[in-house]
Amino acid sequence: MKKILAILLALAMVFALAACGDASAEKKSDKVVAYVLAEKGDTYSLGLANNFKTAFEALGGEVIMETFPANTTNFSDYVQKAMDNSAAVMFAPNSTTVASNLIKNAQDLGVEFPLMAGDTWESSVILDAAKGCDFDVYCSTFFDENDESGTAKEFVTGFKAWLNANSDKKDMNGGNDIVAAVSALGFDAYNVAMVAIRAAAETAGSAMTSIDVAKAICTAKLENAVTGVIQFNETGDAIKDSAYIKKAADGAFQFVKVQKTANSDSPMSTAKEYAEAGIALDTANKKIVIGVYEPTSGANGAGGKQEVLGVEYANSLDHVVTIDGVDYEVVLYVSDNGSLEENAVTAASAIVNQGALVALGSYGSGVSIAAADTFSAAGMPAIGISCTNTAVTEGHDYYFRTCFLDPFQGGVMASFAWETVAK
Amino acid sequence: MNIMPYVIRGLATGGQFALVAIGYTMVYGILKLINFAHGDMFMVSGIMLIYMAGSTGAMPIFASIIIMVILTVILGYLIEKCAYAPLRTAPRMSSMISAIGVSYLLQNLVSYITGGLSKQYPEIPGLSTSVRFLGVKDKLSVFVSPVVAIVLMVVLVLVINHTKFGMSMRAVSKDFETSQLMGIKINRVISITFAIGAFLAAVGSLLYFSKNTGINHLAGSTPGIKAFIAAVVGGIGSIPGAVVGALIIGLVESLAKAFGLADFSDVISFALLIIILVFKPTGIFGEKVIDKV
Amino acid sequence: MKILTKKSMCNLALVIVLLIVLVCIELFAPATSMWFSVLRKVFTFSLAAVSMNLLNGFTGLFSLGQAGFMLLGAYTYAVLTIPTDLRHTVFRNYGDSIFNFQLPLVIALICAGIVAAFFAYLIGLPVLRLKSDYLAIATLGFAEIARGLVQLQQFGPVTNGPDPINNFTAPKNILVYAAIAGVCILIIIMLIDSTYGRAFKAIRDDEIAAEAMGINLAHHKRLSFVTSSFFCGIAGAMLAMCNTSVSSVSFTSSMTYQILLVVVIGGIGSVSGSLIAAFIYYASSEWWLKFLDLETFTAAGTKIPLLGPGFRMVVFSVLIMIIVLFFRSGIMGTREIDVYGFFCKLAGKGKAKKAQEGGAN
Repeated sequence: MKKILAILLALAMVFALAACGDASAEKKSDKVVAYVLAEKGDTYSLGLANNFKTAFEALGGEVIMETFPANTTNFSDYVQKAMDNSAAVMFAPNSTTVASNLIKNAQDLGVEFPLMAGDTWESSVILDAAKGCDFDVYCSTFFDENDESGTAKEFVTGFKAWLNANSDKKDMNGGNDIVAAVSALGFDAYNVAMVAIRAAAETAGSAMTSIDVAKAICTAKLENAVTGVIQFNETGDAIKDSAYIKKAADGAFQFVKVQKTANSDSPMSTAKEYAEAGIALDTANKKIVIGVYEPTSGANGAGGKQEVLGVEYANSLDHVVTIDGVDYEVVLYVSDNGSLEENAVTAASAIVNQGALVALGSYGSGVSIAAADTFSAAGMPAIGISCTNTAVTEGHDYYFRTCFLDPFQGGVMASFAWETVAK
Repeated sequence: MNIMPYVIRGLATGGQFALVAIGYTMVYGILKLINFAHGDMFMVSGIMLIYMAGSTGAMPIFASIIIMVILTVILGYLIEKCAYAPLRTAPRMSSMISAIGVSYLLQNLVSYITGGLSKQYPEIPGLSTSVRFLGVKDKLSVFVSPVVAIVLMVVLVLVINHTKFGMSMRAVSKDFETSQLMGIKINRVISITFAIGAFLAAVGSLLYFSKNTGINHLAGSTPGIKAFIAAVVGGIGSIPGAVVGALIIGLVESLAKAFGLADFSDVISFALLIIILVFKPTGIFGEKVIDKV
Repeated sequence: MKILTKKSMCNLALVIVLLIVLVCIELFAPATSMWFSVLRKVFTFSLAAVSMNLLNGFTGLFSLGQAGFMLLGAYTYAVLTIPTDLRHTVFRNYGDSIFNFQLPLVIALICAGIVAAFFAYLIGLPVLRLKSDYLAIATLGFAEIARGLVQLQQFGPVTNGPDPINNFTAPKNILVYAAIAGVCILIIIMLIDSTYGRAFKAIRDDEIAAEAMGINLAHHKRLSFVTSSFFCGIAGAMLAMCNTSVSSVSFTSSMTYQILLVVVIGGIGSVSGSLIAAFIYYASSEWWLKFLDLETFTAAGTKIPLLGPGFRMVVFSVLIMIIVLFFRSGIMGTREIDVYGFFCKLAGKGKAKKAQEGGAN
């Protein structure tokens, strides 16, 4: 008797769910529907998803947004939901781990609408998953591998040769020599840091500290950057006006188009004021440490490693700074934050402990935000590589970044989605 | 809205979880131990197949599947021998902590080997083919999962109720010490229990990962915890209970998503767990336990 | 009752020595030292481990809800101590925070404890009736539910939804952490030494016998559960301080397991054991063993094979398994630190050794 009662209770719960189901998730009008799927609790994913939603609704579309809990592996029900609502496009800015399952699930269900995502999807994991798919997979990214212009081409050929020469580096890149945009950003971030260190060395000599580097970053300008000229605005974000949209097809990313949006930000005119003491130059060992704060394991491990590769490649090309006539060797110190916010402070402290003058990273906005205070307390500037959430630099004077922001990226993807679907 | 797709997929997930849940429930029935490493063993069996027959391996798929099942069974046996057998006389908390330790070790080992990257499960001939049934298009493994789970459950229940080995198993789970006095080789029974649990987990992993093909070191945690909840909801220690519990959990989660409660899908199964525990602490099929002084 | 025995004097001396060492580190260690971030974490998790020990080790209630209570404490503390002028920037995605005041650190800490304790009381009403493993599962479920709810965007104005909270009061001085943890642990020790503590131990050793002795089971279990959760909440607030940002994604069940491992390594039922274990665990996992993750690490000029990202955790989990399997009672078993006894033993052993010429270890 009790067994039956318990089963009845469970069934009652199911029907209670049915009764109180959120009716707003149903399609209401004839508008073009975009289904947005974000990971619960993930700063990057939700931030970008919300930005996309705002932009897509402003264009006249309708957005159904749902979230899934962390560590979900089966997305069939979400895909089914999108199909039930006759979505014209699905926007799913999530980690590559999620993407590899989501794309396969969509394939199983016979999806016909395109899948779109942000910068994280530009990864060999996606290419693997998207092999043989009947629908299109698009992502936005920071740079185009097949760009024929000077610096980009030089970087791509050099980086590929370097990967092919070092088998362990190639393994780190996912076993192939596809150049990820985050590697290019890592390369640029390192070069911005070098420009700033050299500028600081010019003004302060061997008495320079990390504060001088921070001030130098404020007004630094990297002309021949791979991902376009890098210069920071008042909040410390690189001034970007274009995003590249690529399509995963037949094991490679195809360039689709450049999406440009006017960016009226002006570069920072004078350096910010810093109160902290900062970290002094290591004159005894004649070396300069640059901290690389990246996830080399965990959910974002793949992307983190590719950023590290970009930085390491840049370091292999340019690793000596002359200060007051003495050569200083620039060495990297990689500190793994495991893609987890709870490890952020210790991973950042390890960099501080190494006496680094500047930190680079991280892939993933959540871990970057969590480490920001540790870097500020030590007076160490940090250059974010591909953390796109607005909160990374806002209110954090020591944080800069070389990539575009989520509102920009969300807007770009929304207008691209709108153009693709409206045809 | 047509809820058929959700029902079918919910039952499929339930069936896959059921195979894992049986492992939890059998071990608990005999050792009174929550084998936290079970979900990770499930994940390891998936990873093994990738390394044998996936993009990095070159073995024929059928041979790999057989070897994978054998290796998983050996792994289950070894985990018991190394991590639980030495703690048989220790307080129950110790063996539970040992289980957590094994789970940690497996996860970290796989994370180290794969570099934390998600790997693609190979195509399983048959299971990975796309079919359309009752108006739902999906992989074959989705449609066969609940059937496989129920068939294996029936076989297992028959074995336990009608063979000599089954009798010794029941005796051990009723009273550990008395059955030892009656001449039952306890260690053998326990080892075989773990082996059966591992075998079912291997079959479950085949069904589950041929559908959800991206595997990283955390891929076992969600199925593990859900299967565990299912085992408790069904009444831990009862094999039919584990299957019923798993089907309920699978169905509830799927329907929750169908009715626009996706935001709560993780909360719902835990809420169901607590409700069941409060109203019927031993689960749907659980037996009443009387405390002896 | 004699308070100032030789034993307690010696222990007091040990505490004073440790305090002096701490002050020295705070004053003289270079600002970039790892000591600071590690010690902050050590103090936080010592408190968490001791409060878990109160429940699991001294009362015999196997609860796995620690991460949930820490989450409640961390969020309460963080939300209440953001300066009013920064609130709108922290809560920018949700308009503004519904709280428009900033509390001082100590009051916010107590609030963190109270919120955790309040939820512990509520959840305790139904689940404390459950026996051993079932209680563990139910509390684990509660922790997951708490995490799942806090992340919801619908709660944005209260919890900032899934976005991390930062900019709240987060002292850097390790002495602050030492003081908070010290006071809380002292209260827990006093509770354990009181008649309540003896009742807890009686329940742990034999529930039915304890009930027969006239101990009100429900009342004492609830007291232990609520007290433990109160201090867990404070530990959560401390975790918020040392991480300088709070995000619900970090409060997973693996955090509970971590605390449980600290308790086990230290010895279930030993407060000083938990403290030593917390130190060893966090110092080695976050600092001393960190080199295992670096492929480029060299010892005496040669590269060590196998080193690479993730290797540290493999070594660490093997070490944990060894401790669990071969040193089952942990560092301290159920004993407590006893400096006086230690010296007596040392002196005694020395004499015995001389007599025996190299006796057994």
